[in-house]
Amino acid sequence: MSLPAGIRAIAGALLLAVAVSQLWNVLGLSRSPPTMVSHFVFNPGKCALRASPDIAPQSLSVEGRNIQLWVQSADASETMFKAQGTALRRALDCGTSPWCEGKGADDTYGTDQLPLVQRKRRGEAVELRGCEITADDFSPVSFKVLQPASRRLDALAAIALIVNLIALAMVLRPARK
Amino acid sequence: MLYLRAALGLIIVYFAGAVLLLAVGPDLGAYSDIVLTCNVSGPDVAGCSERALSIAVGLLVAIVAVALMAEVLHRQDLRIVDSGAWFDRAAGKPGPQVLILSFLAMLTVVLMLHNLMRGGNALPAAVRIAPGESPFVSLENLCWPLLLQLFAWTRQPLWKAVFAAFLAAVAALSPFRAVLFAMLFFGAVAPLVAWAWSQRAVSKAKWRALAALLCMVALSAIAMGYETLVRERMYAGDASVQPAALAEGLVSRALTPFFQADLAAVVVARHAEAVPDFIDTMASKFRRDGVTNLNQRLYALLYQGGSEGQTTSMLYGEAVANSAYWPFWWAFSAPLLLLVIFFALRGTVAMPMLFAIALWRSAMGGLFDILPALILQVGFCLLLVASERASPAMRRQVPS
Repeated sequence: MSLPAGIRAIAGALLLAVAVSQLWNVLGLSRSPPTMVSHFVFNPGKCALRASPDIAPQSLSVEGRNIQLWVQSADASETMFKAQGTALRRALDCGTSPWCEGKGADDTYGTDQLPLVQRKRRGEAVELRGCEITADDFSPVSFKVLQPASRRLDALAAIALIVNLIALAMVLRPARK
Repeated sequence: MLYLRAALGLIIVYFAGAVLLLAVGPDLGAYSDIVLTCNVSGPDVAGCSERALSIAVGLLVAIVAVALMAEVLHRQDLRIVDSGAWFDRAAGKPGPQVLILSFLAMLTVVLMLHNLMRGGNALPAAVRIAPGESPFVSLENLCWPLLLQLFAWTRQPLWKAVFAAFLAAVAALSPFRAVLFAMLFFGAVAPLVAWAWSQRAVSKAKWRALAALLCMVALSAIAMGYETLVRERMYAGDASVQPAALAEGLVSRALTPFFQADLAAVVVARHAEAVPDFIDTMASKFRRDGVTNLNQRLYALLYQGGSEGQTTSMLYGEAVANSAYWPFWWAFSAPLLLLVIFFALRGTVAMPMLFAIALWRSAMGGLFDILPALILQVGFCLLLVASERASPAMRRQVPS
């Protein structure tokens, strides 16, 4: 039993689409930027890491006390590491009290801290004295920059492409009468 | 029964080989993955090896018992099974055609996106699965056993070629050697062994079948050897890694699961409350946010980093994480459960390839690790059967 022409055409189109993408993979010569792996530690018993627009969830790995960030960037540097630390610190929720949220009576804050309290009450991300995240709660450890692996001809990908082209030729060959 | 026997035989040979290697094999202190695992499970490689050996012996006894039960079940089941001719009838009807092409179209999208991502993104050698790739790898892992089942069912060279092309595309992208191995073993070597066995009485055909089998075994060995060597070189970041490392890599891969099964028991003994149970495992397979399964948790414990992966803590690891009962009981009853489901469904449609692969994969990663995928794969096959029965026959069929 031979396949109808319509089925052959659809199967051929699918095989062709896969073949083009395989070709892109086998010949892909674009150079990726290095990967920066940054390591931080935090206190998971006290703090929780909230979602943050500054941190892509797929680049984040949290296991026990360790936070690792994997970012592909040509700008991997100490400055970037510090910026990541700041973003993570902002994303950490280490528990808080109504007082730390600016909900205490004004006379409990002291005059020098009242401007900060006013900003806090307006919704700004301000840390009041005594409410800071300490080094026990969160601290940066180190970062390393991994260079991309040199591209190699993947024999299996090449064989898969050949198998695909053979199947494509069989599908596109006119059906025998 | 060919594929089920092949799967059970493979597991028995693998467990028996592991017992032999662990009992009288090389010094395991040279294998980094094993040393790494023993560093966590303690106290040292020698103590760790003894426990791994006892696990291997227990698992071997359990799977031999399962194989005997499979033969008994097979002899009890006197139904005549349509081993696949129905598929070519189905593929000639519009309903099943739509289903098969929809499945292939979905897979095409996955493969295209994965290839495009891989082609433009050379990652550091230390990264085995890039975080963005894992959904594609999971979807491909869901699809390839089904493709292999379709490949085994069809007798039309054209469909075989199409399924083989998709299988090859998945194997080329998969970060797991086990995928290539399973495709070669179940898709080529096992059927050739059966064919060679059936031809043993025919003098000329006997030698032809034997030659074909030997060629396939040699090609499979070369493919697996090449894959292992490339991986050793890539992960070591050293292109001068010699083929001698190949045997070391294969032995390490073969024995590490027994040590990871032991690690699961140690972790459960230390922090039973923090170990994911089978519900977590099922939920993580459906990609519920923030849920990790047992094998992912163990992997993260061993290989800290942004790379994603899973250990293979076997049915033993799964048993200790989910129950206080004797773990080898689960190593016997889980594969038996798969066999019972296979025989129960055989009256509707025989899916030996799916269940053979499920037996093999669950022996490595646990039953709950593969159950969600198996449910979806079996569901698709049942849908195919239902649509075949509901579809009218094509008005005009072109003879081949």
